[in-house]
Amino acid sequence: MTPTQGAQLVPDEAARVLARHNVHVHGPVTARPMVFAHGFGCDQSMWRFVAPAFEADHRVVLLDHVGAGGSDLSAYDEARYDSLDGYADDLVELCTALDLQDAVVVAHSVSSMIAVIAAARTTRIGALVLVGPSPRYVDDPSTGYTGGFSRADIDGLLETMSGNYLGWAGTMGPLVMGNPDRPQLARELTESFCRTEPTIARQFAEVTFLSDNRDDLAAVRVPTLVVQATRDAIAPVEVGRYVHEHVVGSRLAMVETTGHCPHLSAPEQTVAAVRGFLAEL
Amino acid sequence: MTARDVPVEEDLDDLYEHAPCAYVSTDLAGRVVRVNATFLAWTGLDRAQVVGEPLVDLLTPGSRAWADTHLLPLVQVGGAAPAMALDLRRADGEALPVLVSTRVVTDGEGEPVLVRSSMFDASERRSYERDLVRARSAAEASGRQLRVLNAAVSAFAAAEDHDAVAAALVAAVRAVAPVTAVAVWLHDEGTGRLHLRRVEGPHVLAPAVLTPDDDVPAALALATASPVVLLAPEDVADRPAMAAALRHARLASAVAHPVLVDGRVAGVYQAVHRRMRSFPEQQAETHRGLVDQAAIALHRAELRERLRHAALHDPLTGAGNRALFDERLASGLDDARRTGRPLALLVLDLDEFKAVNDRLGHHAGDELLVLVAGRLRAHVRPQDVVVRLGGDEFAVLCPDADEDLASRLAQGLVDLVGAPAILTGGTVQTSCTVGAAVCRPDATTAPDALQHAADVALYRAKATGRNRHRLHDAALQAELAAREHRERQLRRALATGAVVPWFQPVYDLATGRMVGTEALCRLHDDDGTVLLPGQFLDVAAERGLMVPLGQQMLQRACEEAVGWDALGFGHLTVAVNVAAEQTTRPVFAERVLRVLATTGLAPARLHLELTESALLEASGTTLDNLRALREAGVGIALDDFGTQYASLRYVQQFPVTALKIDRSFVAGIPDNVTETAIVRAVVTLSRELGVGCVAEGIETAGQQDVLRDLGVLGQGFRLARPQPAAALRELLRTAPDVDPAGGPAVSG
Repeated sequence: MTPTQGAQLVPDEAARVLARHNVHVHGPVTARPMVFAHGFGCDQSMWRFVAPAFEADHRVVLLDHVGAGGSDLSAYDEARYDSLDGYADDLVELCTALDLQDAVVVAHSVSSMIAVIAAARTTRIGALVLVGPSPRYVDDPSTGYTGGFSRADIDGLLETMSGNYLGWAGTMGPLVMGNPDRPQLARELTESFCRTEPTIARQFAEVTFLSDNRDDLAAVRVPTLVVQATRDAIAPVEVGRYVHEHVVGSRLAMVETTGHCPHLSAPEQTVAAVRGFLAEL
Repeated sequence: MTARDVPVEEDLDDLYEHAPCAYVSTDLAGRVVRVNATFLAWTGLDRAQVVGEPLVDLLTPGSRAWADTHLLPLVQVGGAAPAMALDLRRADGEALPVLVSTRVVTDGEGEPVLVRSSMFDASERRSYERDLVRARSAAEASGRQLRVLNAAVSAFAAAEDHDAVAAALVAAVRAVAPVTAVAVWLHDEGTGRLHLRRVEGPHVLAPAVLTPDDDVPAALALATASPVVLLAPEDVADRPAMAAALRHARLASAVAHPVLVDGRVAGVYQAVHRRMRSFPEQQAETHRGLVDQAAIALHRAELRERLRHAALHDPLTGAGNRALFDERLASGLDDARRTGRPLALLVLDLDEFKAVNDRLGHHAGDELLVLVAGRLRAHVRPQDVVVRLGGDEFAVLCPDADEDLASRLAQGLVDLVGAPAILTGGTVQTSCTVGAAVCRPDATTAPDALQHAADVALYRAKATGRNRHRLHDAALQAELAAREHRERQLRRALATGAVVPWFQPVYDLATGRMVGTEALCRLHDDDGTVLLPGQFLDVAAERGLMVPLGQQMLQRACEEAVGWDALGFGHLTVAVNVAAEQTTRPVFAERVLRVLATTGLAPARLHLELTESALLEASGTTLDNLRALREAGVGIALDDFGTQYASLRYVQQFPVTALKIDRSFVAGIPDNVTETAIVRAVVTLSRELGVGCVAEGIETAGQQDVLRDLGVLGQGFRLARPQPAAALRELLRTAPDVDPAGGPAVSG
């Protein structure tokens, strides 16, 4: 597929797209756009320690995927979002709605693959930062690929999700133990933080953890940075290396931290890695 | 020591260690710093195995993924996380469900330093939760399943044929869960194989004809006659070709189900997906329900099609029947109207089919029909429709066929049916007659115009000898027009008295004396031309004019004969030809006698000449008529004697007074030994029977000599030609006799 500019959206349509994704834009209009796409499990709040660092010299765009955060749940379509293609189309539409040119897309976890697919469909994406990417989570014994999970593990995850249904239902209850030590954050937090509609979350989990997008890596033609946490159980280091090896000309930045979200657990290093990458473009 | 004396530190320590919940403290990197005894008791682990390890490593893999994506972000951003259901992994490998609440603790300067988690045993709560969640999602799934199956049942019930069943099946499969592509194969009764009937989505892994060896999941379902569920590459690891095909098509999972009717595979459907999928039991159940419904629908469709086929086909030969014919004719005309391509119709009749039935029995007749139908089907093009209209009548409808093709096809059929047919009871040589017509219909064309034209062509072909074909072309139309014209001439002539007898004298060859005449029919046309019987008798017979014609001839001949008395020839007889149409009518004898009465001609002077074909169709009525006339004294002569196959029979059965030797035998005298012998025999027969004998067609001296010696009566060109009444009267006046030695009558 050859990427295209895509047709301009009429103002009504553009507004609809932006509302659909609960889009927030910060920074100078004329600066290079930087789109932050959250991954599985939360919403644009995940970027709260990283995105602000770029607001001075970039047009920062934050979005929620349909079904997460403050997105328009009524726009959720089971058939459209049955694979990552639907999410990729959303990202392309968003870039078109904002008339972005040469955008840097910073994408976490499953959004990395969404961004990779989107980059093949639109010329509006000029660079990719893939944080904790994985093109496939399930091991593939036939090729010796290690994704980190067996099929049974994924089934267990999906099962866990049903167990957590009641805990996530609609609104979040008040924080059980409160957080007197960080009152300002407590005030900022709204009930919508990390809310995900359960049926949507279930399908998103299935789509995320059962997809295989290894073949899409070779199609990437824009400069790419892989940000890999050193102790990530979900997207292990081998997987990060795999992505780096299969995206021609990509860079790999290791961030010394535990967990799947270096932009939360090690924000300064994450920012630094991205800055370093941008400087070389 | 009293209770109050126990140090509070001991209380606190004990409360901590043996709390009803597990306490876990980790550093900011998630590594365990401290756990209480309850935690160790629950997990069955040692303190040494736990301290220093990442807490997430003590969870089951699924929970670890959940914690990494949901718990940690909340903690890292908000400093706390509410009760979250996770599973610890016990030392024995079992999962322990817990509810985890987490909070970040800061030091004096407000910097985060520690993460504290409380864990409550959620086994019971979790099991209730799980039951509740399961019940809810089961209810939702059931609701969904019900909707899918209900919609499917409605769609299947409305499906009239196999294509509609396939469409309904595809729609239902897609409603169960999103898929990348669905394909449906259905069994074709004609070919006995499974043909791809419908594909929605990318056309991959869907061969046009499905066989058990194909490298697609549907083939596996066909081969095993059971459902196939491939959710991950491992599921197809033992079939490398299929795995490769899936990979090549960029597919990761597939589900295929066979639909069984009466124990055999009547259909297969296959749903493929780009990514791996889960396949919960609910979905499997829905598919089972779909398969059952599809089986019913397919069975019904099969029955419907068989019924429809039976309604439109002749059970004996398998050719279409009249209902099919009407349908195809109507649609053929529509198509021809629309496309401008000509439509041809061939109608075919077996010649003398009744004879086969009579000779070999009805089973043989049926066999012959089946054989003929088979030959027809084999000969025509695939787009042509062969139908049996009834009895021994067939038709072939040929779309997009012009006159040339129709003619060639028709003659081909004549030749084909004309080939010998080997039946159980014997070999039959039969033949057929074919009428062909071509139509280029427009808005004004009548629906039966084509069939009418073909029928007319068939009729003419039969009338002109059978075992041939006629095309309704310009020549036929000219022919028909000529016949119409002839009929009009005839009717006018009958009305205006332009149908008149000419007379050919009959002589006693021994004496040369004229003894009688034969009245021969002539038609005087407006422009003065005189038409011979050969030019109008077949039209007369076809158009039902034989009776008036015969009647008029009889009337005028008798009137004329009476007139000869005045010339002194009151002894001359007059012979009038009568046709079967006349003699078979009960009033015939009465009519003749009335004419005799009104004209005043003596009955003995009148001879009626009957051809043997007239007697072939004779009934009791004919015999009654002839007997009555005989009794009155009228003569009955057998014309063209010896040319049919029962001549002697007629002599036996009917009151005959004379035999007329056919000209074809006279022609052979004296050179042809056989014919001469026959003539002699007939003469002898007539003498023995005591009846008269007249030789027809005397043209040579040799014939005259021989016949004179045999002592018979004779007529022929050598003696006198047929001539109008006036000319005969003149002949009577001038030269009524001939020279017995030969030559025509001379005057003077």
